[in-house]
Amino acid sequence: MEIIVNIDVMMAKRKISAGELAERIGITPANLSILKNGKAKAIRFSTLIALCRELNCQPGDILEYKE
Amino acid sequence: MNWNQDKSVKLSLVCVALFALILSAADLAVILFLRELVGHDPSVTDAGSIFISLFSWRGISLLICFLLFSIIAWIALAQLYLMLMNLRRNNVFVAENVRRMRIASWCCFGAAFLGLIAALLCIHEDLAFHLPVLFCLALAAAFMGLIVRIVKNSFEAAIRMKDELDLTI
Repeated sequence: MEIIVNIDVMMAKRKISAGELAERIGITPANLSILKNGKAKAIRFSTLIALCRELNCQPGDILEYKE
Repeated sequence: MNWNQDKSVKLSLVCVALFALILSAADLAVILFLRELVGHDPSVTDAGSIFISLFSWRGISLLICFLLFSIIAWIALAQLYLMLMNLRRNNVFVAENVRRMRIASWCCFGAAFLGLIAALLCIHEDLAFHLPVLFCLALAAAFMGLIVRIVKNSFEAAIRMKDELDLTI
């Protein structure tokens, strides 16, 4: 079981680049890459709030639980 | 005086250098030290008799113990020096430091074991006065090894926590 991060799907839907998204939510492109590649061990609520705000979506659109 | 972390590390480096000097002096004085240990009779001045006294089975065993102790001490000092150099480069919570502390800890346990062996070699009426010193040395080395081991365990936990924090976005 794992948590899948679907940021790239939402980014494609919203037609936003990684650099632009990183700048808008206030994290480095390297950290956004860690998040996109599923290497992150945890995500802060503040980062999740910023992501949902900029991608105009719900946390469930970004994070998915898989058995 | 404006005390800071860099000066503290420098002081530790000076202490390591001081210990290295003491160890070098002990290495150079090993033969004299051994003559005292094996209970050489000072009235015997004949070179041949001194030679036999030094190279008795007990003398050779103590010499081997001391040489092994010296090698272990040099390894531990080298680990401490390299770890301090890492601290100067701000590489604190890294796997390399944990490895160095593990080696230093085993060196302390090794020194304790050698201290016990040397104490057993000195269970002899002429050398019995060395027993308390050697037992205390072995106990102190084992206790130091335990402390270093616990610090190493703390470092391992800190590295795990740091990795988790670094990967929290």
